Amino acid sequence: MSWVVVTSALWFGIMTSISPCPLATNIAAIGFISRDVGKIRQVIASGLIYTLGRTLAYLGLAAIVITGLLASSQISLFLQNYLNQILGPLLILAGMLLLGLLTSSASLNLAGAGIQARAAKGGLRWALALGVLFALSFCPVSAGLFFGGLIPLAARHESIFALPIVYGIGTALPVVVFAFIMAFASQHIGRAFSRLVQVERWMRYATGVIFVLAGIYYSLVYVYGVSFPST
Amino acid sequence: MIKTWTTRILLGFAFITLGFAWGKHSALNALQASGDPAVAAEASARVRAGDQLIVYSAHLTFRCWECTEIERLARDLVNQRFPDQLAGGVVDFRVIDFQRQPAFAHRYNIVSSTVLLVHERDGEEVGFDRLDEVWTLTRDPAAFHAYVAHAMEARLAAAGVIP
Repeated sequence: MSWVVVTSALWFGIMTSISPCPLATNIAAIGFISRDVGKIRQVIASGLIYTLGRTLAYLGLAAIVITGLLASSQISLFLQNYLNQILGPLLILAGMLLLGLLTSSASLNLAGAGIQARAAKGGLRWALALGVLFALSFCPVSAGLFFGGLIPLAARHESIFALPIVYGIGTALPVVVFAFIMAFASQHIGRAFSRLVQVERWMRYATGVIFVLAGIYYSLVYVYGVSFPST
Repeated sequence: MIKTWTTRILLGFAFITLGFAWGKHSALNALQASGDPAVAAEASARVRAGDQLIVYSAHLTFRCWECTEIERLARDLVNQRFPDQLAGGVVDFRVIDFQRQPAFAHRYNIVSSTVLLVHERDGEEVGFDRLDEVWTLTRDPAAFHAYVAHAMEARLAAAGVIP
């Protein structure tokens, strides 16, 4: 397998990530990864685990399609029909957890204090789950590039593992790099003004708000059929 | 107070959205199970004697920038490069929401917005080409046109419509 093929897979991934249609989930992911301003190791680990989650999701899908268990159109239509519609409410609930809105005193008690604390703390498992969920939330661009671009390329070169992995890294790369820059810049500002704790708290709130807004956006677009010119 | 109401509104919105999505899918599935008579009538009315190349611009219900660009570029190409064949009915340009036509999507293994060429003879399908590489060419109209035109010319030449 030539470098041209590997570079193509990476480029497909980067194109998927920088196109406007998965913008809402990318912004949410950037906020999630970069929110632990004071713990750079945690930010780096979160970014790497998020990348792993995306890669595993693509790897699994590629294996299913290339081995012929299911046709590309079946999986693609299923994910685009159902997952994007569930994603909106899921993001809203996740955002509410991060904002501390779902407490035991809430009118509808969905999550206990333990879950909320874990969500706010942001264990690496959440980064993995987020990577898998966002990777499977196909929009037309990611479906076109993954099922229409990467899968034929991987099938042609008999690469069930390498090319989907490279593609997964490509889809996470712009998000992770931007999240690192955000985290480092916020830490620098926080230290410069001796306000690291406040910056950290505001970053957490901002992440929660971003999740809620992204959830509302996904609900409006994929469930209620509202169209926005930029998408 | 604000926190409580924000929580209630967001939770309400999330659950109403889930219910709306569920209802929408149930209605759509019922419609698909019963078949769409308008679509069937239109398809039978368009059956043409002899060879015909149908250029489908297939898209999802949700349309991104690239999806509308694929349709625009394909439509421009057909209008500009194949006006005689289009006027004579040898080439036909159709737009289809394949998310609402799962049988169509599975028949041609369509995964996302794309251009599909279906060659028919006396209303019977002879062959088809799914041009998935349009995804990587939406920002290069010249390359997009060259790619689709090449595939169309190959089909038309095989049918003996063009030399």
